[in-house]
Amino acid sequence: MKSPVEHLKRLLHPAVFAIWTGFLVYLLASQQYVAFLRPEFGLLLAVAHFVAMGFMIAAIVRPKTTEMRVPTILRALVLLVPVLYSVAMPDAMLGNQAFKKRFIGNNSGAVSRQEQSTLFSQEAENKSNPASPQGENGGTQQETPLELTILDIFRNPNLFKGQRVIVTGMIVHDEQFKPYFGGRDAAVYRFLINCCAADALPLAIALDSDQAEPFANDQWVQVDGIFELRQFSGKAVPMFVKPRIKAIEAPSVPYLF
Amino acid sequence: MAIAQPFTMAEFVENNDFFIRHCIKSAMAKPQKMNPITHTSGHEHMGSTRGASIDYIPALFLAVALVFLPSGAESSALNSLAIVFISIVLEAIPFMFFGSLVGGFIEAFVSRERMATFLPRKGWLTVCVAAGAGIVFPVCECAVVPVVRRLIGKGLPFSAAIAYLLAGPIVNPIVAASTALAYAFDWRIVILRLGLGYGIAVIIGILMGRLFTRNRAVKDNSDILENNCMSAGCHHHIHAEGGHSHTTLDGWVDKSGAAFTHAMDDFLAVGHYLVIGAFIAALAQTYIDRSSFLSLAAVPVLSVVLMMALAILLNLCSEADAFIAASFQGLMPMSAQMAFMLTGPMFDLKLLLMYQSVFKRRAIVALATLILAGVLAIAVGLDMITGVFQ
Repeated sequence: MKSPVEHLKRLLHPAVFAIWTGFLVYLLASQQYVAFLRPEFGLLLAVAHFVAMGFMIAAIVRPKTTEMRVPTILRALVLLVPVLYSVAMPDAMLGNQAFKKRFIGNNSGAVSRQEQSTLFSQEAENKSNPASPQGENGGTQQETPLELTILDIFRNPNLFKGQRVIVTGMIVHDEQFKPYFGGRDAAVYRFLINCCAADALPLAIALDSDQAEPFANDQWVQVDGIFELRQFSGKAVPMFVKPRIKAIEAPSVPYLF
Repeated sequence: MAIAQPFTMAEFVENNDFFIRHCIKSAMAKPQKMNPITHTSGHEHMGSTRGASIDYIPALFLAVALVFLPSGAESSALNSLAIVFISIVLEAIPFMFFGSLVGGFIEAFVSRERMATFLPRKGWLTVCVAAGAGIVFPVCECAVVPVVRRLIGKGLPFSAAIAYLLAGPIVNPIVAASTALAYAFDWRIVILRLGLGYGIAVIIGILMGRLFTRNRAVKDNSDILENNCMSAGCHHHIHAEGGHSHTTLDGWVDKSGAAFTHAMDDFLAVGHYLVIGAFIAALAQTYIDRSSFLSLAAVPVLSVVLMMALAILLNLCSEADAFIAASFQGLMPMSAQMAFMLTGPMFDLKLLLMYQSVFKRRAIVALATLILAGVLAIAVGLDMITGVFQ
């Protein structure tokens, strides 16, 4: 009759890899991994789960461990902490706390996949945009608003200048961001992810209205308004003028990629 | 199961001279008793004297992790911490698995003799080739540690191993593409990043080779050696009394099985460092205000130092860090952004911990000092070159 300690010695490493295999399968099957990673990482995780399974088998078939000390057990337990955190996490979405720590202005590098050199620069502001039906003045908006993501606007702000657009995002209120929000204290924002949530960059468009007041931080909203690049302290600040805001349910994928 | 093939001691020594020296030494040190072939994974070999100094880290980490466990709390900070922590681990763990597997397959399929044939005869040339190896064998910084661990065991010169360790996560096509994308295809930035990364790696590799012998720098070679000799897949059994040894690595399937066992050992030896490093990085990401860095951006050297510190704290993957660096355009000088992109893949919190699975503490201190001094010097030099990025 083997003692529990002997069972632990024998099963610890197979159990660690079995738990990781199950965790990866769960993340893939439930699509939960997109709360942490770009969707393209699914393929990597799928391959990784096979490797974890291989390690589990290797741990089972190897000669029996005759020596296993406390540090080995602790190190194995360390490997399970991410799984524990995943189970204990109340909400798999970054919010205004992360926004406040990460936001350093609507800088071009955040969305530099294209049009970087002209994004939100003074030069860009002064350029007339032939693609924009409203040109520099922007005044009249089309009857049917364009439904876009905040990333679409950031990639080519001049194209949408003066146009009526609809975007989805979360609300953030903070007095400290007034210099970035053209003197206003509220904005609609989303996070852009390049690889994982650790590199998530907040993209925010200020709301030129008190309509955002009733909405709490991190409330998901749909904003219907006229997009403008307003000059503030020598910088062009992306802003929605006369926005109509309504609360909506959080989307299944909270991030932009 | 593998079939035992009898070997004479002479044949075995001839074919496996590197690790046999250690095994024979161990066997002769305890002639009175034949130790059972036990398997111990990872740092089990560190022993109480050498390992004791860092053995408290997992225990301490587990205690801290429990304190910060969100457990349904309404704290958005704890929630952010959990998301970032899991993200970093999930992003890195496939690469850690693959890196461990590559290391395992190198261990099982590539002999020391074959490894020697791959390497140039001149030491400095080996360093140069190793630093550029990422171009044909791209790895991120999470995957490179277990690979280097095995390559050192296979006889890759220490200086070349350092060069590959530092340059591999920068000088590779994936990083070139991501940097190009982040900087709107400004190829000057791409060439500068890869070129400087390569140069720093070669110089530090050569310097480390001069400062340290392999035995003084690489942690407890018996870790790798005993894995070679005694791990389940390999079955190199030493029979000290009988004076002969045999190996059962005679089939592809057996070798693949051995490769998986080696890879699993490598993962168990390094994986917990990744988790602990990811947690520290998540703490930094959750509680450090990035905008506070900007107030000091006007001072060139200080901005470089701050961005290097940020790179160490954020622990970003080398494939993603260019996007974060690019987000500081217009806020930080290009030299500081470059310092960020050079420091992170070579030295950050999780790497600091992961290096402990390969190198001795003195070597890690020297390596970190050289990396930080080298990147700082180059970034300050860049700052002095006017008009390059205008």
